[in-house]
Amino acid sequence: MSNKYAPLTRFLRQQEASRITLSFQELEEVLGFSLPASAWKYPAWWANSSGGQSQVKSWREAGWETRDVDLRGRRVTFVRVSGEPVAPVEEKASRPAPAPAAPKPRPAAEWAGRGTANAAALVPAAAIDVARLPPGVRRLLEATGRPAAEAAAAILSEALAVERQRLLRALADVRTRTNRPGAFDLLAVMKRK
Amino acid sequence: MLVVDGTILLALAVDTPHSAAAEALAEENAALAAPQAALAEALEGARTLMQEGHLAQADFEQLPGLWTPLLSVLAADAPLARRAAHFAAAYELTMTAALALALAEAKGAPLATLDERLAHAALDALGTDRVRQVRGEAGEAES
Repeated sequence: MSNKYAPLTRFLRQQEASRITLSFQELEEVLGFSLPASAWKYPAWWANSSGGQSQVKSWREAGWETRDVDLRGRRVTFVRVSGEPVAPVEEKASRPAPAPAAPKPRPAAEWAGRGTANAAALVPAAAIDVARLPPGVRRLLEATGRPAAEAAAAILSEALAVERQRLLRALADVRTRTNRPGAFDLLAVMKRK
Repeated sequence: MLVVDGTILLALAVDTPHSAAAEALAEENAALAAPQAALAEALEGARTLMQEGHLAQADFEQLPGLWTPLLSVLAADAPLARRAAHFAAAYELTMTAALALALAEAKGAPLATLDERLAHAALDALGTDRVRQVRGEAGEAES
């Protein structure tokens, strides 16, 4: 059976750096689904020693381990520990030492351009210097009672959700104005057949 | 992240039996992505409909401004284009469809499409858990 956390394995294998910190929200983007509640509550969910858990397999098979799990800040750091897939902890003692790290493959693709819809996931904690923000913005962040980056991400997410709904409503309006509604063969229109 | 192709984009803009399902996908996935080619393909389809009198020019012209903020529109580099060329040849896909498949593979993301041929190719290349083929009169999305 395939591991539902396999997207994380692929993501980590594509990294050139040997250390990467992801917010839980960014990690959910990589995975394509929400982290379970236990991931948000319990450090044990992230423990490398839980070799049988599917999420642990996902990073260990890529040759990475977790470090600095920050439940309060909702982020986790992954550190590369091997150039080769890593065996579960309980098997490690009986295996030979891993080979020296091979050169890491470059990512399959590099991307240009990003939609605003993903902006909330891109708020880097270290990039927000609250003291330098305009007073109004600072008060807005502080009123949330949350860390600045988390609050900014939440505010952005809410704003983007509203904008997303506006765009989808506008597209629905366009649909209602199309002539001959419901009759289009889109594949033919797009010349795929 | 969910990668969508041009068929999903166009279903958002013109009324089809699949539009409700396409809209549901867009509502449920805040992180949609598409290759630049898919955007161009969807616009070309919309232009065809406009020329045939099914879509008003004003609506056609506003589509880029409605689609692009919903998406991460991603440009492909040479490795992605090579991978797409392989998929196009192996599965007899258009290059635009193949680029969406290659993008989903590279990002480790599921792919949503109305195109049955592309969906079958994605099932083979990505696995059953990574395909959202939108179909049916009721507009349901199946994985």
